[in-house]
Amino acid sequence: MFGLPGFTVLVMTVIPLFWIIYTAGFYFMTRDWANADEED
Amino acid sequence: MNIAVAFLIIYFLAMILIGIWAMKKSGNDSEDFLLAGRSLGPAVTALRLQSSSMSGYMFAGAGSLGYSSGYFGMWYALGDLGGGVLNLSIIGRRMRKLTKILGSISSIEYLENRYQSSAVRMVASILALGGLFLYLMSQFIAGGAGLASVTGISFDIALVIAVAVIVSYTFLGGYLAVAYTDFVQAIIMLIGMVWILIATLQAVGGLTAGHQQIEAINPNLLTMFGADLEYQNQWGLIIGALLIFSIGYMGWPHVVVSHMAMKKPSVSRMAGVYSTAFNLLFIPAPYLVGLLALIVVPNLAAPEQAIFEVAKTVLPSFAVGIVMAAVMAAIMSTADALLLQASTIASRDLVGRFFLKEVSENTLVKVSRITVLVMALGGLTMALLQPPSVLFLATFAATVLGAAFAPAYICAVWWRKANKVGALASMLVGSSVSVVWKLGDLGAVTGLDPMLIGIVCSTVAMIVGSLLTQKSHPVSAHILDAIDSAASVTSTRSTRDVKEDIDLSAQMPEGG
Amino acid sequence: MPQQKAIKASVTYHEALELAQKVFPEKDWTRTLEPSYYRLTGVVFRVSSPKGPSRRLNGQLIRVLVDPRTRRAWTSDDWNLSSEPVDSDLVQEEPLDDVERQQLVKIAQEAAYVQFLKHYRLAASFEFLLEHVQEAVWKPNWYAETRSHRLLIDGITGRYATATKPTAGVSPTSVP
Repeated sequence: MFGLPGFTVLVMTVIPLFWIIYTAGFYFMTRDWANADEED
Repeated sequence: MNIAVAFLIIYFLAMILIGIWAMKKSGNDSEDFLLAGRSLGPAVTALRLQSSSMSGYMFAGAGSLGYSSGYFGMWYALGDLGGGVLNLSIIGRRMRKLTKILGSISSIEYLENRYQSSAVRMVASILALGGLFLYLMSQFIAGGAGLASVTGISFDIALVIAVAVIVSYTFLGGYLAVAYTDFVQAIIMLIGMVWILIATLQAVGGLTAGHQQIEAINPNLLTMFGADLEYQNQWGLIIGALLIFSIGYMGWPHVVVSHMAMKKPSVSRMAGVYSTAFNLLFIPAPYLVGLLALIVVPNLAAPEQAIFEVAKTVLPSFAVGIVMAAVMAAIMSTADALLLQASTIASRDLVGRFFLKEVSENTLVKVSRITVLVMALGGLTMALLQPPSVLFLATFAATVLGAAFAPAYICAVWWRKANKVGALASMLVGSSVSVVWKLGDLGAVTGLDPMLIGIVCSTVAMIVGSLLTQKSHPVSAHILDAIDSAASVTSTRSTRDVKEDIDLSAQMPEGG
Repeated sequence: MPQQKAIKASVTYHEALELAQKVFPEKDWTRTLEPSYYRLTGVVFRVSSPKGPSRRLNGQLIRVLVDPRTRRAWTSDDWNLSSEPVDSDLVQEEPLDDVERQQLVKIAQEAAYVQFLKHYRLAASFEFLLEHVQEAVWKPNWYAETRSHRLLIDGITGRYATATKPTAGVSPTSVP
């Protein structure tokens, strides 16, 4: 794909996907962070 | 090239004017002196955080890596992608709360407060200064290389000019370092990088065609194992590359300090999302452009100029000037942040804390200025005499800082048993192991990247050191309370909209 | 004795009462909700920077509030702008001794310095001249006690803190 060897394509897809999932997870798991906002 | 230079100068003038306008517009200069501070929205916050990744390294270092090692460089990029959100999610909110409870002003002072040891502060200050100096040098060299490339003047002269501009910016920084200019610069850099990428892809006939042409030059560049497949099965080195800009990032003083300013953790959540999105778009680009540069500008004497040379070839002149200016600006603001962090550490955490009993603010400012000048001149001299590569310096700095500090900062908020012995041990072991490994090039011999071995040793030292001395050096009760409090996201069902604040209990009337 | 003034509370009695009842629904009050004042010290500096990039701030005042117990400081607006007179019985003021005063001024100076440097970095040549120390700037709170607990509600931010009451001879468990 794109003229790249299979392993390269695999890694270049899987790791970014991991970060996307991690970020989404972080975002959803921390919904309660609004409680820690400071008004000062 | 005159057009490029002209636009470079126009751009700088525009930035200065915007900076001055913004300062005047914010009207009341003492907005900091109000009880209510303003908070920037998540997009601006994210971009400001990202400006530390958009430094000289991205253009000079990443480009050179792509040019010389092809897709191997992507291992660094893939780690870097998550550095922002990782940092934010693991350390961010808790550190903010803990620093507030402990009353720490600087990130180094925070280490002393948390680990209850002035020795920790002294060691941390020295290590931080060392790491910052290395990273600073990488910015100088990147700036010199870029300037030399765009204007055609010699590297040495370009270097002197770049350093002079950086130091002036640091001294006058208040005027220019406004949220707006950082934001505008970040946008321009993003647009510039994407533009270069697209133009390059057009020049080589598309992504697939580009890869095919690279394959004709050296097919190994398309694997992720280096130009001579030297990294095949070298998982110790590959993991190191992944760690450097992800976990390693958590030890950088000038990055970690931004957590202390996180007034609204809810904003940081969104900023984390923006950060990842931005990184996905921006970070792989310079590595790819560096690789494709082999087609567009083959036989470069200095791989660090790869991206600049490509830009000169594929972009119209005025665009080169503007992008170059944005790059210089990013280098300047990164270098400025590094110099200021260094000067603060030198004046407050070293001199102010250990050497002078009565310090007036003027003395501290003097120490700060001296530090800036010493570091700038020192870095300049070394760069003129024997310039190491931007890649080497940036990874060296990241490795040492990451190995030395990441466990200390992470355990500060997550592990109640982490004590002063563990902290000292981890900092000393982490830094010495990674320095020895890197300078002795032991990575090549053992197949273990300095970052990997550094972090592992540092973590082990923290754990062993803390556990062995739990009886003799226990963590005080009030620190434990502070950690617990920092962990909580203070919300109870019934009083959800009101927050409990343990600091307030000091205000209860006596007796009763 | 001149009439003492305190910063005007933003949290009204009714709001405080409502919160108190949420925190301790059992309502076994032994001391009903009443105003309580906490002493902060106000330090006012005048910026002296006749030359250089920060000369626009020359002559301007910087106000810092210092908490003498926790040793923390915050830059602040003019606290006298919103203040109201209070019962002298509630606000006993012990004068600060010189050493204490000097320490608080130093703490205030540091806080002001940190804020100042955010804008004016290293090119500024400036000095903070001590203009005035207001030994007592009274911060309003609301205080109540139940059989087993003490409750303090911050009169400005609306936040609260609880502590368990000391049993005879034992010091309070809640540590600031």
